[in-house]
Amino acid sequence: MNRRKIPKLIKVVVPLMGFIFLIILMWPFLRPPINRQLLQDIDVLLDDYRHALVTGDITEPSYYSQEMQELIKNRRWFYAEYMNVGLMSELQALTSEFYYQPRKDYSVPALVTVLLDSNSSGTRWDVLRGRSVAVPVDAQIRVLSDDRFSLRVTEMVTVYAKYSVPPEEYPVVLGAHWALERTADPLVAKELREYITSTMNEVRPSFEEGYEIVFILYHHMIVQRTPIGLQIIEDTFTDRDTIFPGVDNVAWVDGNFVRDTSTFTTTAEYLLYHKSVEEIGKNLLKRYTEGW
Amino acid sequence: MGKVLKLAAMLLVLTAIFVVVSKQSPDVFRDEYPVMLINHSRIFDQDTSVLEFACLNQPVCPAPLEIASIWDSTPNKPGVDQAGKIYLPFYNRSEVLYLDTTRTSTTCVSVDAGLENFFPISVLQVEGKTLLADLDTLLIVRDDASHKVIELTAVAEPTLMGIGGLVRGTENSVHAFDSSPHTVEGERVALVFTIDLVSENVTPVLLPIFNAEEKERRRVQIVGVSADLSKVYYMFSIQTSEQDESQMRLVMFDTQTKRELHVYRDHCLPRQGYRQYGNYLFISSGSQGPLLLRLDDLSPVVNFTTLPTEFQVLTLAPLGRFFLAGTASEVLVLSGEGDILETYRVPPEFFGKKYIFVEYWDE
Repeated sequence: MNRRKIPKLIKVVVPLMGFIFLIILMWPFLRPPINRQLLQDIDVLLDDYRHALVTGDITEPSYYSQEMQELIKNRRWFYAEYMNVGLMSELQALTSEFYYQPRKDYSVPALVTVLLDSNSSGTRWDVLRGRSVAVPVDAQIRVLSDDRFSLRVTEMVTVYAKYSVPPEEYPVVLGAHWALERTADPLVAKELREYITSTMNEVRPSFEEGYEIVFILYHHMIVQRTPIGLQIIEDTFTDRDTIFPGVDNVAWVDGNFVRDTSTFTTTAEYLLYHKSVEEIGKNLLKRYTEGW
Repeated sequence: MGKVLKLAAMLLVLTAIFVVVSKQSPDVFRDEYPVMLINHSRIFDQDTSVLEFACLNQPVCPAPLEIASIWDSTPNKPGVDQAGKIYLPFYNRSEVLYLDTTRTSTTCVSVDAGLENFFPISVLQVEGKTLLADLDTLLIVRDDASHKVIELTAVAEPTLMGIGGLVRGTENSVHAFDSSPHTVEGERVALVFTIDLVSENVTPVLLPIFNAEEKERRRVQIVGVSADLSKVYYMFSIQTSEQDESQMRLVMFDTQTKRELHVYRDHCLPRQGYRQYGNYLFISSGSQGPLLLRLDDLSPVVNFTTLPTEFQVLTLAPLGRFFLAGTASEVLVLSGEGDILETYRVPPEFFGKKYIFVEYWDE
């Protein structure tokens, strides 16, 4: 080999190797950006899902598989039934809102934030170990195959309801009346009367004006690309969080959704209505008598 | 010319190192430990509870177990030992249930020390003994169903404020540490009780921690000690601005050199639930979810929020050389480096429930 060619070779190889090494180091930062059109399509899809849940009107059936259309009906039934059986209330209305923001792995601003801001939710080790940092946890998109992806998204469902039982017939009030009839102690009787008044005052607004409860639901959806657009084919969700078990739980088995209805009968309200007036009254009588 | 060659050689070496490091073969999980979940539910009108088991990597699983519901019958850090015996401590009693699943039908043995007002927070299974500790009492339940109660308040001065946790020590010993620091002769110290598992004798030890003059540190709390007592792990909050904003710090302190070697900082660091296993400090679950740090340098093993799971990771438990991480729909087997080695589906009947893992301790 001609000796003069070696330096030329090195001049070409060294920068090339340096460039390759740089590419390897920078690879996490050079990943292709998220598809903006896909994000817009998902936005439209979730907005329609939200609308279908709130109104019960599925105006774009192509957005949902047959089983998903059944799930939307089931979800509306669930909220009405949960309020009715679990909370002795009548559903008035519900609203839904989806929150999602695409995951940004290895975003440069997040990385800089972590390095400079000690209050950041990430840590320096995340950066040094090459893991993603400061990632919004409420949304992720994962490609499952050419025509399928999964979507991790959070939904807030607000349920508006009115309590079905007038304050005078609230079990605790009936129980207090039962106790009142069985005490000769004027101080205990006074306490029980005050208890009845305060309990009725607490319950009355829920009966007359209504109240709202909020479900924060964590979804994992399977979305398919079809010739005419996106279609949700599965939606697994729960409001189970790090502290409390879920109330609104839907899993999927072999393409069919499985709804957990056991939660209807585990509410404090349900249990209260399945106690006898005598049992409640005896407990109140014991509490106030022993107190004196 | 020589410089260029050196540069080229250096780049080559660096590239080779990078490729080798990134191509390291991952650890492998071969079902050597049972992956088991328990769901606890109360039967309200009968005042009993039912424990349902789900076995994700073995065909045989214990049948549902009905237990008397005294107040709360949720098992507290249940586990399975090397002999296949499942132990079930509870949060509100001095009773441990042992399920022997190795026979053709599951047998259940109850060992109850009959202690009143015993609310064990800390649990440790070591050398066939189950150790339970509440704030001031240690209960050792032996594998022959006998037991011993040790009142740690009677053992030493300074007075124990409250047991913060149990840690496996060296040579058949266990450490119980006071979560509150003490000041002895002007020096800040950590109070640790070392329990010899053979003689079951207790020896109090005082370990130095940071200088008592550092008054800006608030709510100092001991969260762990190393097996050889050469390190103490503690946390505290410090004021970071005049607006009284505070930040949490978790520190590793060397008791020999009397220096703080490593600091883990996070603005939402939990104050409760720290446990130790092997070379790890971890929180099974909490309002912020689980946490898994290396004891060597307090570096996080994994950022749970970035794992490719269907739902957020809710709970964590030791499984031999590995860890189990649970979401609403999946159970992951993680390597000691935080890599996902295996994924199991949570049974539909456990979905959305607050299931707990059956731990496997093999340090």
